[in-house]
Amino acid sequence: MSKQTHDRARTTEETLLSVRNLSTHYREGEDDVPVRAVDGVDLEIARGETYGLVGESGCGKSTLGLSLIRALPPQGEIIDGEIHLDGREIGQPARSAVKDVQWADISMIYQGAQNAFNPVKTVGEQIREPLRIHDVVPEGERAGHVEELLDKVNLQPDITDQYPHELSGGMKQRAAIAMAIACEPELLIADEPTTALDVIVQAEVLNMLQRLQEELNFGMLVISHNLAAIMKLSDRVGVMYGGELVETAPSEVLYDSPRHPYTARLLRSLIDPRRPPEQVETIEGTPPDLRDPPTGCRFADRCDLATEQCTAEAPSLEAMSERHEAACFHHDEVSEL
Amino acid sequence: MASTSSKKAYIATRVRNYLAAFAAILVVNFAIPRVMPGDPTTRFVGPGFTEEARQELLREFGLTQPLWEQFFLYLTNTLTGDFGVSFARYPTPVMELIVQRLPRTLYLMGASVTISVVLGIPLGAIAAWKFGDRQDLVITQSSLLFRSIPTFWLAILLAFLFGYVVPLFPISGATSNATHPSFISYFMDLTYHTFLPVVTMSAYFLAGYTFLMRGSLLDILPENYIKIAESKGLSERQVLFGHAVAPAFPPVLTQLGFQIGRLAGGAVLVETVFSYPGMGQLMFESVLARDYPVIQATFFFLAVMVLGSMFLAEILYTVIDPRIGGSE
Repeated sequence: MSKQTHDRARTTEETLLSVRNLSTHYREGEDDVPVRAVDGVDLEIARGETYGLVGESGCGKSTLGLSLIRALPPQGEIIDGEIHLDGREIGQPARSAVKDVQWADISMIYQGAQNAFNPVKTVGEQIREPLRIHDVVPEGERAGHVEELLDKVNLQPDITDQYPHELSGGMKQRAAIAMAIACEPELLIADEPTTALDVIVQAEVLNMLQRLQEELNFGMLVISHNLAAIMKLSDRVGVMYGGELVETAPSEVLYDSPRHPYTARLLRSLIDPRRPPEQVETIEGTPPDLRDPPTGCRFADRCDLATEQCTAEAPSLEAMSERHEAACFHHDEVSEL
Repeated sequence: MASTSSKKAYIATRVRNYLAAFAAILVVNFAIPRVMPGDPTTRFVGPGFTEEARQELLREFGLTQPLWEQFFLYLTNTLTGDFGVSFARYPTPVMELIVQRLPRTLYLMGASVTISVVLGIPLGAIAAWKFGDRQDLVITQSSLLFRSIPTFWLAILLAFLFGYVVPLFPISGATSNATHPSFISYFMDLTYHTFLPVVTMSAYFLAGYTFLMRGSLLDILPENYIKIAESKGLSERQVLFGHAVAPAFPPVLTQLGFQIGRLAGGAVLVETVFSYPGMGQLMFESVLARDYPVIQATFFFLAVMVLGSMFLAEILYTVIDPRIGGSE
């Protein structure tokens, strides 16, 4: 696995995306207690690099992605922090002021590509739309450009005139990828790109994303709870728990020597066909309520290593080795778990 | 692609269904006046009106014949556009009354449908987009108010306020002058006379479209393709009207088909209150007078209008939403 992940990437050291102390909260009304979906996250992605984000459902992965592309639902708001893309601050300005960045520089493959297309418009019309909005391709060349995009994702050009319901699930997923790379973005966010697809199509989609990245050299943020897919695809992996980033490392380092107990448990919950099912572990308990997160470590009540210190104070990310950080007071004991 | 053939099949099925409904209408329309209590001679009852005279009248109207013969006669006459002569306005042919009044009611309906759709859809769209905000609250609350006010009461209120207290608008008739130098002047006169009836009828349906559009959009807005449209860098207005309204439209279209039917009912009330000589008033008067031929003709035309508009709505589905009647 580690060989594969390293041979293909043309990762440069040039930082493309830099997220500092990002906090995104949801609240229904003025008096509502906010849900701290993303709470003080730091993140860096280099040009051409693939960063994988894993964690249980509701840990803030998707919210982080939506914050980056500035498409949070009306209840969501970036409370604090900075998002720099290519040196430009895009986190704090009003959404209307960063419209030019959306899709042109950051685009996104949304979770559930089955609904990625408007049912009453043709597929071609929708892939062409961002080209028009951002005027990246002259009007006369747009149709041809759409055909090239479709070719890149192995789709026939004649689907431009078809409606979404006329395509299969796999075709829709590929068309959604074509739509996402239409303006050749700098950063592609892929939120659960393979969920709800069958295994063969999953592999196809993952290979396609890798190939496109080599060709177009965009940075990629892959969000998934499918740890196996993330490991295969990513150069580096970040593990989120309860709205916080708890560990980040190159994917093979993370796989071989996790330093946060949550990561270790997550890895052991991977289903390995060679192991009998009783050896597949689950993690007892549920993630914390993000309306009122615990003051100490958010994983403490589910953790075997937890001590009084863990419930009293919150650990922050510390360097373990080069490019490997973890937020745990007991990171030395994780290997003995 | 299979879509053209299945679209044909879709339309063929609809045509078949609507023909069956049309046949049912013909039967029901024949039966209704005959099961109502009383008969056309009831209003002549008085001193000097003997049973012989009554039988004579009934014979003259053809009401002494066996039912099946009456039905056969009714069928051939209806399908050839011959609705006989009015009993109450003897001997004016029914068709003459219809030709005179149908356009007025069509105008009344057309105007209120147009106004309620043109205003209701954007209002509902804004309410859905601003869900839970002040704009939403104002729109839904006032829609609720208009939806709850009884049509006849609003009609009387408007007639009283703007026809009597502040006499801005006429409260009876369709036109002031019997003849008009041009169509434009006729149209202006008609619009002036129908202002209050149109407002009355629009108020109720406007609220209906607002709610329907709001509800339908609230289902559509959380969809991925709306989030994607936002992420593409479109403005809120472009996302709302360019991406969300069209897929939310089919329920509105269904309502539009039904509305014509309820407008017919509304027309009876509103035309009566505003003494507007349209189909509604004609129907009302002829029911009171047990004027069978006119009742049947007005029912028939209103039913055909409802059927026609619903059929049109179903055909329009296929234009608006490619999933309907497309390739399966």
